[in-house]
Amino acid sequence: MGDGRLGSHLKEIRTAAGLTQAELADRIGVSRKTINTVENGVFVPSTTLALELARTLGVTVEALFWLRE
Amino acid sequence: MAEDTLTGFQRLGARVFKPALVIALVGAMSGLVGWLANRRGEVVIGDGLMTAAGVVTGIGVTAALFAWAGHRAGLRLEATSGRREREQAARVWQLTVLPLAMLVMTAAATVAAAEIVQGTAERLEWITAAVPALYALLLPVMVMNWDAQARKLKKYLDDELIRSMQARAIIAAFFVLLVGTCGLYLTGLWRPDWAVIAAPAVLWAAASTASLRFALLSRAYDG
Repeated sequence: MGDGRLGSHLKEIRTAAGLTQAELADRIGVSRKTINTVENGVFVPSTTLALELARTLGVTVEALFWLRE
Repeated sequence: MAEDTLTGFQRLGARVFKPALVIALVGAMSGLVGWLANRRGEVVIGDGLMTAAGVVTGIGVTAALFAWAGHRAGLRLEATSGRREREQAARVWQLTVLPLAMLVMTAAATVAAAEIVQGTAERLEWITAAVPALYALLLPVMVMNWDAQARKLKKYLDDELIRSMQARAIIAAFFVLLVGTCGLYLTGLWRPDWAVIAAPAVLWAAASTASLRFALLSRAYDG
């Protein structure tokens, strides 16, 4: 489920957008638990979910996620 | 912005509260059954077992009391998170409790299967022995959200994380089923009657693995 190589700025960008995990989850149509596990690096989102997150937060996917060297 | 995560202690409390209540209930019911059996005099339940039932009840009640605050915080978080969280939490609760309830039926089915292989069974034993075949299917069906209730609530119960948890739960159950079936086969080569008697326990173990693995994963991802 998790992948140590995947880095995430989701929590910082969500917080900067003034959204709770629940509010972001509601806008995308997933559970708060899904957002929580993505933020904590426990769950790697699909390409579709990553694109949904980026679109909802008004950033690019690369701004949200990156591969650690 | 509202608080959207639990502290470590609250998370622990939220996870422990309901299992603690179940443990307390099982202990209390065991004590009650023991007390009734002693009173009727048909079967004598020893002081040691009665004390154990009391200790189990006490541990369950104490753990539930300590976990109460975390449970309340979890409920508050759940309430702010909307219907999706409530429906998923309700499903996880069903998947936690059902295997425990089915353990009683498994014990009854094992006794009934023993009577069938001994040739002393009546109609009730045949029905009792057949029940595990139903719930062995019910639990995985519920894990996969294929039951009628879950299909109605599909938009609340289905998302990427859930599908990942379903896959992990069913894989674990399949492994348990495979090991159990190999054991039954090898036992059956030697003592076919023992294999029939042990089959309800293997079905329960595999179905419960799917159910409890899903519930444990869900609780592990809370917070």
